Amino acid sequence: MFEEIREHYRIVFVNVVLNSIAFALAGVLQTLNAIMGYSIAFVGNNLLEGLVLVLVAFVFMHGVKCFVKGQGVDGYALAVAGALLVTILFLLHIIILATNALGFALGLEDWAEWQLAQDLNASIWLFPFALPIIRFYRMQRPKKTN
Amino acid sequence: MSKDNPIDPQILLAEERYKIISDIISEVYSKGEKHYSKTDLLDRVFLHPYLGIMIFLVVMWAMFHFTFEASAVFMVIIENIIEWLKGFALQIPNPVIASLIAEGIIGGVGFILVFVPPIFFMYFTISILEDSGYLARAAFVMDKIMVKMGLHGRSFIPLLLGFGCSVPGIMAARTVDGRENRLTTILVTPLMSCSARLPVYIMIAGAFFPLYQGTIVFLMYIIGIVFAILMALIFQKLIFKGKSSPFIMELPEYQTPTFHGSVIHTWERGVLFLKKAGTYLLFGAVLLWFISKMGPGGYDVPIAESYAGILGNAIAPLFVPLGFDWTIVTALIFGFFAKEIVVESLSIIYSVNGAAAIRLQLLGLMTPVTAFALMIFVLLYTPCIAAIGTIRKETNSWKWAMVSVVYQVGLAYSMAFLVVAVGGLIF
Repeated sequence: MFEEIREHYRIVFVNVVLNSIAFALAGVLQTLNAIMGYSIAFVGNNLLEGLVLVLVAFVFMHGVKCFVKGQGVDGYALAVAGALLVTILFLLHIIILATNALGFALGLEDWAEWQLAQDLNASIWLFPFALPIIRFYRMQRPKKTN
Repeated sequence: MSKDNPIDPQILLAEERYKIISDIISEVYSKGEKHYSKTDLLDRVFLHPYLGIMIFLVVMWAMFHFTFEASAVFMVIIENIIEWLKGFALQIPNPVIASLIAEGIIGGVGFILVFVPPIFFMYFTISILEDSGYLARAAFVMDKIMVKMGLHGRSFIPLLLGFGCSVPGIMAARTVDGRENRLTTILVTPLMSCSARLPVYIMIAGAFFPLYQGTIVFLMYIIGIVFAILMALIFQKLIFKGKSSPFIMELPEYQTPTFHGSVIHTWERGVLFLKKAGTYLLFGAVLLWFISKMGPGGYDVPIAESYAGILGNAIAPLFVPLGFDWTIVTALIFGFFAKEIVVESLSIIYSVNGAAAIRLQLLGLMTPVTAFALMIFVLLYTPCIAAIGTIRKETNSWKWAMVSVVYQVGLAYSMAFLVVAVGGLIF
């Protein structure tokens, strides 16, 4: 049952645990930033984005739960789905960063005070945490049992 | 099929069809050691009853965040070009022609073109979701909620199309089974926030909620969905009392969308907006320029004494409880032609160009609570004349077209009033 995953179980499992903790922390911090008006650097202060990060953490946590209960395929599927969401958020913020940089480069008034650090939020710097799952997924997928 | 336990013939047909497919496959294909496919794995999560809905919300948020944040630079670039063209047109020696071109055509239609980037970006993300196979999953995941709320499972597709434009959404309701279910879907589809309302949201959210622009606009879409569900529930319980039938849909395999394919699909949808800008938005801009420049006193009268001012002032007392002045009321009246004209009208009425200038005017006229009430009003009232015409055509009845207009205007007014009343107590 689920032999390929068992071989790499530790890698996927450790990454899913790491991602759930990291995204939960980042999500809670960003939500607090938005509600309390804090300004913790590199976290962001968008309330809905904070909640989105918490939802991503929830997907990973559900994956951890499935792994622990021995439901390997479900745990793996949740890890992949979570990593996919992380990739979407990462690409989204990279595009926003690029367009803001364009506004700055063109000397547009609204972007005159733009700084790179403003756009380097949790969705960008947490992406590397999801990379091992994506890499693993591209290398191999679990076998179906007859 | 018994009377006590009726089974939908479509389910029987689908079951029979898949039984035949399964029989054929079992004869010609032997199972070997197979890996889970991308679709097998992802569907375990994306079609999950609870996680599926959460993921759908994350994807929708990402879509709107991308649409508004990434398009901001391009909007400013187009705005600067329009500003330059306006200055160029004002150099025409004849003052009437210069005003018509600069303030009417460029100030009106040109200003609407500023909103091409967010509209195209939204269509681009919808194309990506559609091409990847996720949009069909979203319909599947939402089906259970739809049925619980009294809508037919197939109603999700018209409602989803309503995000782009209400007209194709209303037309897509043809696929919904049962007259009552179809009518309910037709009546609530205009509540889904179409792309024509985007310029209004971006304008107001940018002025009053600059730090949370994307979030506020996303909220408007969610409020639209909530009201569509609530109204469907009311229609089903009080008027139609119809039964929902099961939703049968074949889910495509997940695909990696290509940039080329998504751009083509974006263009196919977006070009309709450009055609609209070149036809009746242009007509609306010229008409508005005319009635805002002309009045009983002749040409170039003060805006309050123009025909637009007279019209707006006549109806404005009705909107005093909402805190909308005659300029807003005039813009809302012209918004019946098309929602984009609301912003176009404000540009012409205030005789200013560019989003920043209109935002400044609005900041002087409204509070954040009134501004939010205006967004709610724009979200809920009749989307456009084309939508009313389509409802009449699809229902073959003026009665339902009028029901749609009356209930939407009533709903918009009462909800905007509620926002002002509750907001006034809190802030």
